[in-house]
Amino acid sequence: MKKESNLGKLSEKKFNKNIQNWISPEGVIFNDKKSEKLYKERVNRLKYAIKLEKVPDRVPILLNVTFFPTYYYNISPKLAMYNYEILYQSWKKFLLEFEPDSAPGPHIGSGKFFEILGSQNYAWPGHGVGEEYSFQFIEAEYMKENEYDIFIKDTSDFIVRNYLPRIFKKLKGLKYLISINEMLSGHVSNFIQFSKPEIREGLNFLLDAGNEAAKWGEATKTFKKEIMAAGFPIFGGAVALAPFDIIGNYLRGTRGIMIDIYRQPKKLLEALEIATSISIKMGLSNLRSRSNNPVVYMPLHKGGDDFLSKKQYETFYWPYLKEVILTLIKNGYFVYLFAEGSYNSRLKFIRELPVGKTMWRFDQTDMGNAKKELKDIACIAGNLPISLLITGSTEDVKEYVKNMIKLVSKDGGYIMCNGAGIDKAKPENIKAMIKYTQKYGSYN
Amino acid sequence: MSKKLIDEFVHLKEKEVIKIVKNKLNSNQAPSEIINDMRKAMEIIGNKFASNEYFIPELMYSGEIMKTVTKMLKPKLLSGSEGKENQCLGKVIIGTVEGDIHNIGKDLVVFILEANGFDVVDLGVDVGSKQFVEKIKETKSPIVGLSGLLTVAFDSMKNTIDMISSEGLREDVKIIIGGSQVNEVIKNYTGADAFGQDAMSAVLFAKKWIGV
Repeated sequence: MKKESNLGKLSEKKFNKNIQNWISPEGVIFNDKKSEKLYKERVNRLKYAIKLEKVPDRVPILLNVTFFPTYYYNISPKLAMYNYEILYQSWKKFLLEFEPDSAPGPHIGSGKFFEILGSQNYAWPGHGVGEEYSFQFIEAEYMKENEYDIFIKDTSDFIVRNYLPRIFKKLKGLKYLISINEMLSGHVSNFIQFSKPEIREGLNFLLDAGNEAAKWGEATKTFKKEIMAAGFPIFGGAVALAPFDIIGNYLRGTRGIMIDIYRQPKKLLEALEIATSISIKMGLSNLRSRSNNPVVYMPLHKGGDDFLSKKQYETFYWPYLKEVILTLIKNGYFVYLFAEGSYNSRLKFIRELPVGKTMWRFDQTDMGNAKKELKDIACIAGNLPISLLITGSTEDVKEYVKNMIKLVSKDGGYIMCNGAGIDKAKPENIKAMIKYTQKYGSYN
Repeated sequence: MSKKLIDEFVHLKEKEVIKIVKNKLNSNQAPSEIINDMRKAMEIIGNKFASNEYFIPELMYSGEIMKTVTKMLKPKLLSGSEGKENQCLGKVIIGTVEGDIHNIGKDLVVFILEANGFDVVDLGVDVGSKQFVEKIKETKSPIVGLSGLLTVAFDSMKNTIDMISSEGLREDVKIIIGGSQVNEVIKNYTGADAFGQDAMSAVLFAKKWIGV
């Protein structure tokens, strides 16, 4: 509690305003009284679980689905990535049929957008992977090992002239731009470049991509309004990343960053400072455009037990991640973290965070231990194995749910959720997960 | 055997390792001896990884150092009489299964297997069942590794193993699956013989299966 008061009254004020906006979302007209009642019940359930102040009426249920709704309704990943309307309808149908307290929106992105820009860092249905498979990130060294200095000195310049031409084939022309800084005089000579065919071509593709992105954005906005109107709160629209993962996923690749730990640790640390401010901007600016819920989602990829030693974690991963989390909290937001893999040896780091401001969804972490370590600090969730949902029986799911609730739901601070995202699984098992949480998860 | 070379490599002193190897080559030491020392060191590094003293950065960095040294030895190996300087423990076919293009885990396993003396046939990513079957027929490899990060890969693993069975090859091969979400349940679901959750498991099983 002492830690919380350190955050100051200002952030509490922001929190309350953001929560108020979550409970009574601006511009949303509920379908009927029942939807409104359900919506508010669900928000309260999630809110109490995270804040740790009060026990909710029952254990909240969060379903983390990736491509499940499309597979389940026989919509191919390709169609889902090219037809926003069909994608969102399937998601809505899924929420109404399964009735979790919340589920993430479709983070599936746009195949058309990838196509317009000739995306190089993703494979998507029909482009690098079969039409019946999901899109996937292609890791590579999009920033070379000798480019840290350019990245550190002028990050935006690096992104525009080096990085974008690498990840988007159609933006190759941008590498012929002069540094943006040079345009400061406003002199005519600095703008001759925009007559070059390569640059003009790149900019034209950007304009097309912008139009497509706007279509996607409109559809997303409508979808979010509609599901809220139907009684489902949104939990975590904005996304921020651990600074280590920003460098490791997007720029240097896993192999690159792991070797940099040895070959150029000082440069990596400097770059992590920059990635920290990028991540904070991501979280906050995303929120501004996607209001109505005070939760920032942060998937954590390369900091688990198996990836880094304790010393490496506390040098390269945690301090930067912690700064992002604390800054988002100071701005009045909850942070929802997904710790991929296992996080058993990292639990004590989480204790450094303020009380009741984060939710940790685990993947393969020992939940009993997590509860013991974090019960007075943070809400925990997750761990229900994808293998159980794919191969188990409803009876197996029932047993799991019953045991997990017994193990970790005491005094609140727990949300029922699966571990890794669901692409394919037995629908009856997902229904059983919800049904038996409702049955065994009551606090009354 | 050069204790110093092994020591420096185990402690990932890249510059020292390169210096020692250079000196050894200059004094005409047999490349095969250097490789043997590097392999011994890799075994120790592997054990340190298995006992949680070393992690992914150490494995990947040791792979880099190994690559640099191999490059230095190559001209000598080609000009000398020692083509196949080391005894190969056995063949392993490996690939990321259909619909999945993730290669980081697989590449790490390939490196560890090779460093431990296995001859690895790496089929790459998004590998169909048929490709696996054909490669088994062609190479007669007794061990097959199926990798996948995505959960949809479970079905591809299962389909691949089903096809290996229907082609009458199941008795001839041992199959291990790997990926962050695989476990005992998925092993049974796919019909594999084993599952590995880290880079060392593949080596331990492979050695067990070929009896070393």
